[in-house]
Amino acid sequence: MRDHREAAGWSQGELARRLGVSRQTINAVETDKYDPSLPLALRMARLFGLEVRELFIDHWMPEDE
Amino acid sequence: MDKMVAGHSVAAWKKSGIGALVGAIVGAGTVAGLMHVAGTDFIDAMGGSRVALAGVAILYLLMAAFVGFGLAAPRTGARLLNVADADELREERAGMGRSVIVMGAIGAALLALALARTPSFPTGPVPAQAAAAVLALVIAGGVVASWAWRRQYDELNRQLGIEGGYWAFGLSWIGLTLWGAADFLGLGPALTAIDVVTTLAAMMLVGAFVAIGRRGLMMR
Repeated sequence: MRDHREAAGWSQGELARRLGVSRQTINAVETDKYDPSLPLALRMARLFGLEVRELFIDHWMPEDE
Repeated sequence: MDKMVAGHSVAAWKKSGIGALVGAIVGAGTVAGLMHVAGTDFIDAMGGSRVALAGVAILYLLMAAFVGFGLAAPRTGARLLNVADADELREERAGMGRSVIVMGAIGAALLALALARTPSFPTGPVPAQAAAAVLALVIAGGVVASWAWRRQYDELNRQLGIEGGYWAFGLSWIGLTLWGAADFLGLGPALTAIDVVTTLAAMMLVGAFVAIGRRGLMMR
């Protein structure tokens, strides 16, 4: 997410203001210390014009049946 | 990239270490100074349970003072507090200001309780009714403030509150159950009512630190 934020030219504080959360939350998400709620993840993706799966990487795969 | 990460990690450890060291020095100095002012006779008259409660109260007050200092002087405060930089202190001023009020109020109420004049501590400088009034005011104010400020906390704050509460309850339950059982069975020191208050207040702090530490948020 940091790459997208920096590409947009926003500071953590600016992104926090746009999303209505604290800067601490943005910092924690960017450093992988906190997984945002689904509503916040959706807002983040919409703000960057992306899908949630493009913004957050998850390597989980379903087991083969 | 690895060097950058390692460099950041070293810097984070260094900053946390400096903050902890300054906190320990100021805390130890404050406690030693207060004990000197109070005098040995007064401390002896208080007894272990009251001294422990006063110690926890001073911890709350010192934390409130540290954060308050950080808000007043963001550049210096950013070197001591668990924030990314001085701008975070400026941007999060309102939220951290609320923390200062809450921690300061809890610390003051606990200190009033520790110094309350009771039959077991007739030289206590705070009338029992006054200590009760301060405590009732702080609890009532806390309930009202929690309601009024409920929308001011974002989801990370709320999550940390839930996790801190979980740890505080679990640790309190274990500690008080073991202590109470030991007292009941005649195997340990007596568990007094004020010990319960002290344990709950202390475990609230410990729970908050555990929740923050487990998420790796102690070092930023």
